[in-house]
Amino acid sequence: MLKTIRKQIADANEIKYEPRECHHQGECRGTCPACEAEVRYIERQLDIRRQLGRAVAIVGISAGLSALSGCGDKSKKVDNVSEEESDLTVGKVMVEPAERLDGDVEYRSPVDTVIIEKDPATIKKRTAPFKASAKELTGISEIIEEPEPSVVGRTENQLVGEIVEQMPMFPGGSEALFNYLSENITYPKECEDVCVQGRVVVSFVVEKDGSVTNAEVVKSVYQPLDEEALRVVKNMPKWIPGMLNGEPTRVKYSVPVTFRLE
Amino acid sequence: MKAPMIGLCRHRLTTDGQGVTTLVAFHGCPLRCKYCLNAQCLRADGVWRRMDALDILNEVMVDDLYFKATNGGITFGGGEPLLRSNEIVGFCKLRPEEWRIYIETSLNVERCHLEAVAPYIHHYFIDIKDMNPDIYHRYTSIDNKRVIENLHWLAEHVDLSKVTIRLPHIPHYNTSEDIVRSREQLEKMGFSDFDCFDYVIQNEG
Repeated sequence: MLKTIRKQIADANEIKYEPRECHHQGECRGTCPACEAEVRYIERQLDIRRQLGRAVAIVGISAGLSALSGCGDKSKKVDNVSEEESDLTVGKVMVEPAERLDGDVEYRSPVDTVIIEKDPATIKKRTAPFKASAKELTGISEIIEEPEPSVVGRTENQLVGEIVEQMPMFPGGSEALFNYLSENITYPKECEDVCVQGRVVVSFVVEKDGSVTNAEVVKSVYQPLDEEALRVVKNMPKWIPGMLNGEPTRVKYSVPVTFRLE
Repeated sequence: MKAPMIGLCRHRLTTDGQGVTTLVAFHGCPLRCKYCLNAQCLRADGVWRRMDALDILNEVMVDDLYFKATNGGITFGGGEPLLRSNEIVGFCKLRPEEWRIYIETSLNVERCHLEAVAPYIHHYFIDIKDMNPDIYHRYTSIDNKRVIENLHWLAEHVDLSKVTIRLPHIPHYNTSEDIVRSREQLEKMGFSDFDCFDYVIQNEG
């Protein structure tokens, strides 16, 4: 039903949008990378309309929806609950003695920027490539997918940013991007020794065939950190390209990588 | 001041709040319920993150579009969210005004917390367990004097159409007759919206 909400917002604002079938493995609650990318696309389109001085309609336009569900497996109930848990909607709460309960709260890892963190007290233990567990994700790792709009024309090979219909995506999504970066980036020894930390932003272009080109540091911190972030970005596997009018298109993209010592 | 959290749950659909909501669940609770649904809110290792109002806003902003389109917003839960009234008030002042604010609470807190958040709350979901002090104490290990005082305060200061009272049947602790008595007592206070349901203990079949 989140898909329906997206469609209603798009239609109300004359945004060209056709929800794609969600291929997320398992039930998607609307938080898979493809669904999130669709939301971000609609938000960008709304921003463009605001910048052009046009009124946008958002508030309450989907308020009539009641029997809402996720966008993946339609056979399942609201909020990814089990068949038994779905009794919640008809007046029952499934409970167990406290010591066996996990509760109904999803532990969500924020995925907005990549942070490579190193605690001086544990540096020696962490000389191996970083392999963040799901638990660690909550504290040290985020991934940002933030397109850098760079529309400069409409010739065959020029870049498209703010009007791209589907943003390029790292194979496996943002969490996979995080895993790739965290496993491959090594905190430069010389930076540990002098406690250098900071946020390096690397921009690059995802080509029509998904290859990564034109990688460059657009926000520098310190040369060894810059070089390490750049090295790993350049070695990334091919992405799923961005789409415009149903065709692959070149998109400029940036990834912030935060190096942090604690 | 950063408050300990047990988690966020996005894209809740018409669950404890209209439209699409995100549950913001705080760590810590004054109650010790026998059948606690979110027992991690009591465990020292149950803290997911510590967040202040701005941190929370940054986390939930990702669903701004859904909140606005469905007249949804944020549901504060836990744990006992009213113990974190400072963070809730701080958040409410920062959030887009179109977002609605819901709260799931036991009301078993000092009055000052309730008074602080009241101007921002669109709807209360209050689990009173049982109005009978003995039943309440047996089930939660504390008494319900503050709950009843806070219910009276709400009845005097808040539009009661904004309040849903939960009246659970708690196996081994109360009966349908107890629930009827609780309801009658609450109706005399002016409450009219009740959510009656059963706690179903899974390992008892």
